[in-house]
Amino acid sequence: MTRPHSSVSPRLTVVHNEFGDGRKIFGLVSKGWPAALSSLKSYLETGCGLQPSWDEEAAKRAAAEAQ
Amino acid sequence: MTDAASFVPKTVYVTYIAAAPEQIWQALTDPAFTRHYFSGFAVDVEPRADGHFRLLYPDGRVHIAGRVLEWSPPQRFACTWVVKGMQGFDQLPECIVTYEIEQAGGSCKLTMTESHSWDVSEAILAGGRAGWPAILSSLKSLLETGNALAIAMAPPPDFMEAVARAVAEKPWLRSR
Repeated sequence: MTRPHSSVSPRLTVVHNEFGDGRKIFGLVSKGWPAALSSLKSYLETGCGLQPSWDEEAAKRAAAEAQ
Repeated sequence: MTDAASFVPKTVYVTYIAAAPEQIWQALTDPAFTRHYFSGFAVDVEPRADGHFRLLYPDGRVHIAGRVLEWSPPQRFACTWVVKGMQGFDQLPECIVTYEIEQAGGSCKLTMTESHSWDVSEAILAGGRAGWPAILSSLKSLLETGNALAIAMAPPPDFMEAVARAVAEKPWLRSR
């Protein structure tokens, strides 16, 4: 949902819910949404999206889980 | 001395910024940057562990006061945080604000964590949860475009009342 939060900058709120027992999914999307929405904001403001390295993130997660 | 281990993260905000870690670090710790994106406040920080941390109104009055817990440029900055100059607010226990900056491919991941030592109510947490996204969105815009955002800010419903109730009841004394 977007709404005019001020004269200049709208606020975008994304709600992703009803996971049931999907705590693992919840953990993954909690990492994914900030990256996707940060990239959307960059794209709208500068014309260039971000290139977050999903591989680096995934490698870090795998390393953390292995410990 | 603040026992950081007794603090629990209550609000976490993550954003990715097309900037180098050093640029994000400077934006967090240099008043020439914070004046633009942090509601006009100038940061005043002694660059060392146990140094002072403040956010100042344009006229020099103190809005936030605390101590630096960790100063590890350009990766981690943590400080305690007490609101000054607003009725009752400085009787609340201090919280800890931690910024973490990590390289993530061609951009950087900035994580802000607000941690508390007591069972702070949702109504009080709502203050930070309204403010941090606005402040950090504006920081991102400033670094990527050269312009901060103009965002109208107001305390969430019941926020001031919740602070007044907590100051009167002091629930943190019971939970210890």
